[in-house]
Amino acid sequence: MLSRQRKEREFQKILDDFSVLIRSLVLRYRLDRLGLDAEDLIQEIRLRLWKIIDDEKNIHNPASYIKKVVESAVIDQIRKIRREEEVVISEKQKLISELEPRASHYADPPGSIKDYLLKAADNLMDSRKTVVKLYLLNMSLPEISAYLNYSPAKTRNLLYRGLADLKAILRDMGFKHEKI
Amino acid sequence: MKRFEKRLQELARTDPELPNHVDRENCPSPEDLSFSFEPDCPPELKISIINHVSGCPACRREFELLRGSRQLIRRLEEKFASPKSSSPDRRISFFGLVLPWWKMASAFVTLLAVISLLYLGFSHLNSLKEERKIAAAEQVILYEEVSWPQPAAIKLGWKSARGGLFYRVEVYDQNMYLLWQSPLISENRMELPGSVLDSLKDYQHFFWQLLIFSGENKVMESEVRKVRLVSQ
Repeated sequence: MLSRQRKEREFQKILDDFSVLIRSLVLRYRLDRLGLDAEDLIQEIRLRLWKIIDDEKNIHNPASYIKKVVESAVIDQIRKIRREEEVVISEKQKLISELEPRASHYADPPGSIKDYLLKAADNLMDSRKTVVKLYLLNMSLPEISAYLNYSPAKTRNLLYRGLADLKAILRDMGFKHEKI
Repeated sequence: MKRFEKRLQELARTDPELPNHVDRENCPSPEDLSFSFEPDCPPELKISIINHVSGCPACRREFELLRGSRQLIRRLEEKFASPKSSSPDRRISFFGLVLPWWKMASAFVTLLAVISLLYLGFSHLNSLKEERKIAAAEQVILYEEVSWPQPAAIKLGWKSARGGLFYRVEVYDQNMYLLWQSPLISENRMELPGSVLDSLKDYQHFFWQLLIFSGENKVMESEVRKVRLVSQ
């Protein structure tokens, strides 16, 4: 059983790390424009979780409660982002549509390296494609294993074979290793 | 290969352009995105989400948000939920058998109780056997002086090779039902009280036995002796 002060310190440390991650996502995707305030999200999670972590007797299954609290807070934020996005972008679209033809939503510019990369990944064998796509989503090997319920060995094998195949496909598409 | 892999990740991670149009009808719901991280999510749903997220920057940022929250959940569970939940179900391994501590403890207590009962039972049997052996080996001479019926008087006496500290006489009727039990006495003879004589007046005979209490907390039993009650 952890002492209260120690629990508080560890809880703070974990939330600080999470806060760094959220802030980096907010900056990268400019989510602040859409109403995502990293501090609000952290504060909401902190308030709801600290009560049960501090007073362990109240909750029968703390693990499942922690999961529910964090998940629902994040899903609420995603819903909020989507709602705001709809309002902001539809207003913006009204102005743009008068000036230029309708652009495909969220698409990267056609012909970008990323576009080719995704096309090349689509040509992989199904089992390897899934693992490689998750890897391209910046997930680590343990994360991919957990996400797909695969053993680490199986995930590693599929990933390395998939990346080797991807390299060959990109070469066939005219990309050279040096260019990549 | 390492450089190639890293470069691929960087290229795939290129930040999305600012959206010009919002049409997310084909995007998975936030709940589905979150559910895709669950082990019991169907593989088909996982694959369709991975395929979608790879090409949809809007869903990708939400996927990353959920991915980050999963890391948070895992760390919180490790620090705050696991020790409490694992404590009551802590498992103990004993000769390769792994059980929760409370099951192991109750099994151990039951086993201890069974062993104690068996031990007590066996030791009791052994002590009985030992007593019987001693009684059989003893040379105890029993004798009576009977005056019946008028005047009624019955005197019982005994001689033991190994002297006892105390003696007790038990008197049985002709059907071997216990009629009377004397108090502990130290003499080698005794006279039956009048109440016992009254009980015996309708009988042709009776039985008696001597219990010898030695100093070793053991009781030795003499043979059972039959006494005829004949009018003199």
